[in-house]
Amino acid sequence: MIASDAPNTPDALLVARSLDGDPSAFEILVRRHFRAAYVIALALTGERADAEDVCQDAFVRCWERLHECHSPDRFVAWMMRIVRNQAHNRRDYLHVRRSSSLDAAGGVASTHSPARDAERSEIAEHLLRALSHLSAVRREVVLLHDLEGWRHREIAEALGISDMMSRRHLMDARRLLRERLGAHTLTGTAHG
Amino acid sequence: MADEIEKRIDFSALDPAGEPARKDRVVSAVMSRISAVPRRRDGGVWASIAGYLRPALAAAATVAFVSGAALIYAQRAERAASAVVDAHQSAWLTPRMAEWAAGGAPPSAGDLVVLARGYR
Repeated sequence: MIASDAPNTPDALLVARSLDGDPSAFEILVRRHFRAAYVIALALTGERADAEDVCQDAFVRCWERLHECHSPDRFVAWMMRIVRNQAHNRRDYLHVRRSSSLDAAGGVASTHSPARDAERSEIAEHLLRALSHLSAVRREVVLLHDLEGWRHREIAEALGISDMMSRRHLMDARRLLRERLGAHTLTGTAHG
Repeated sequence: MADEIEKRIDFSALDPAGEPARKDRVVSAVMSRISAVPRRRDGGVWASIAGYLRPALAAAATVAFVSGAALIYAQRAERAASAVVDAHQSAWLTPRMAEWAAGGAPPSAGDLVVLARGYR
């Protein structure tokens, strides 16, 4: 059921089914929006393991509070607020909860070779270090745009800023990251 | 430099999609947790009270507004009626007093009684 109707089912319908007590509908929502939630959590925590824990806590909270999602067609924006709150809480209480992180629980099997994983891990560390020098909102904007592929209108709505500010944060973030990354700068296709 | 800023930065090393097993593990953990924690259909006692309180407050505000409007209307109507009575009274008294003054004779006891009791 999840595989067959997931791509075509609107969020609003999935929210309604979840409210009726259908966990499989909620699982579709989690899978569909995991990446966006992860990107936001990563931008705010700066650690992949923490980002995953934040996502986990945030989605559970979404389930508990789903009746408070008054505009189910805008589920993503509502969910993002919860993710951001969880990420802020996570930063505050990081020292007492680190032991429960997924990485600490034994890691995750990768589909790549060890050499490829090592290279990927090294690049990821460079990126995270460079990102740590940006403000939180710039990290959120640049990751949502360049990694998650969101448009400025969607970013603006999720973060509560204007389209113009989203564009400005993106430009500033890219410029600062390129300065920091230097030789490690990796660019994709040209896109505003 | 402007062209560089226009280009996306490749964050694929941070993309969780590159590690599907990790995503599956997080999703499984979420689903396991929500099966153990039932979704709150309401916000508990306080939310229920708030739910009742909101319409009650709205009803009270409506009643207060209607009462205030009715009170203001009644006061205006009373003032208007009082103005009409004053006009009638002065319209009756003025010619009578003018007659007494013009006649040079004091009003009779009957006239004074009528004046004291009212103009009718």
